[in-house]
Amino acid sequence: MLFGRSRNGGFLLLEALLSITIGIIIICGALGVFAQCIRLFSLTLERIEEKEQALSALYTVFHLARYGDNAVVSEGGRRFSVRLRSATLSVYALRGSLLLAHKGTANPIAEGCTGVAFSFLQHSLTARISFGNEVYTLQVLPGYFKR
Amino acid sequence: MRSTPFRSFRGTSKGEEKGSIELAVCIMLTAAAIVVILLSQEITFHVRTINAYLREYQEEYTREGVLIEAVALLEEKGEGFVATNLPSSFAPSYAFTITSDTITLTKDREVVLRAGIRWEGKKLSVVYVENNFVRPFSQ
Repeated sequence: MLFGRSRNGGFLLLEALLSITIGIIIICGALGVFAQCIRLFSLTLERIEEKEQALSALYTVFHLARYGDNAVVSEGGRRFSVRLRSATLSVYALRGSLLLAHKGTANPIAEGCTGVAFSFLQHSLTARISFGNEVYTLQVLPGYFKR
Repeated sequence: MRSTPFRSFRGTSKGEEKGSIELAVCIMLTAAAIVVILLSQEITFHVRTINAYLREYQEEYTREGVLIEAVALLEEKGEGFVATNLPSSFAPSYAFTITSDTITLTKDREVVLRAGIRWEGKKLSVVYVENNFVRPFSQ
């Protein structure tokens, strides 16, 4: 009986205030930890989503470069074009999306893309696709099958 | 009477008081466990996705090897050579069919790659190659 509780078993005002204060501190701490967990959770999900978008984009560029021919890099490395039989396809970034243009229609192949740079080095195509601060790089020999 | 944690859900006023705190702890721990499970699931799916992409890249290079094997065989045998479902020695799970103008690669009887070929005198040229990914774009 630290604060001399009365016989009817109720709380003293001081006890009630103290327990409420301790309770609030504990709840705030727990909520803080919980909020951090949620933040980490959403950040991890964002990174996962970004990596999968990048993988999908690199996979598309890999196939187009590998199976197409007449690969051309234009607009200072911002556009990559290739021919697949009679069709011409282009890959370029526009307003946060990486687009694949085919038959006059451009469809997104990756969202959240902040930039793209294509370059040829000794017949090898290098594609650098940026998502925020992260840059994903692919090197592929284009038109490999064309003999 | 001193109660032990998680054993005080009793009818006394003191027990109810402690029980409430323990109940809150239980709810928070459950919520944390749910978050951890969801995050683990997402990470597992992500790892599976990455592995699937890596397997697909490896498959692509295997298909290239099988195609090169078919082209080399055709060049060796010369124009007019045809074959149906010839097993690949490079990747035994693949087979290739050679006709006068195409080489078709199959895996488990499913077409995975088709190449158009043309003879220019004694020289064999691969005119185009399509797999299931690029075919919708090339037609």
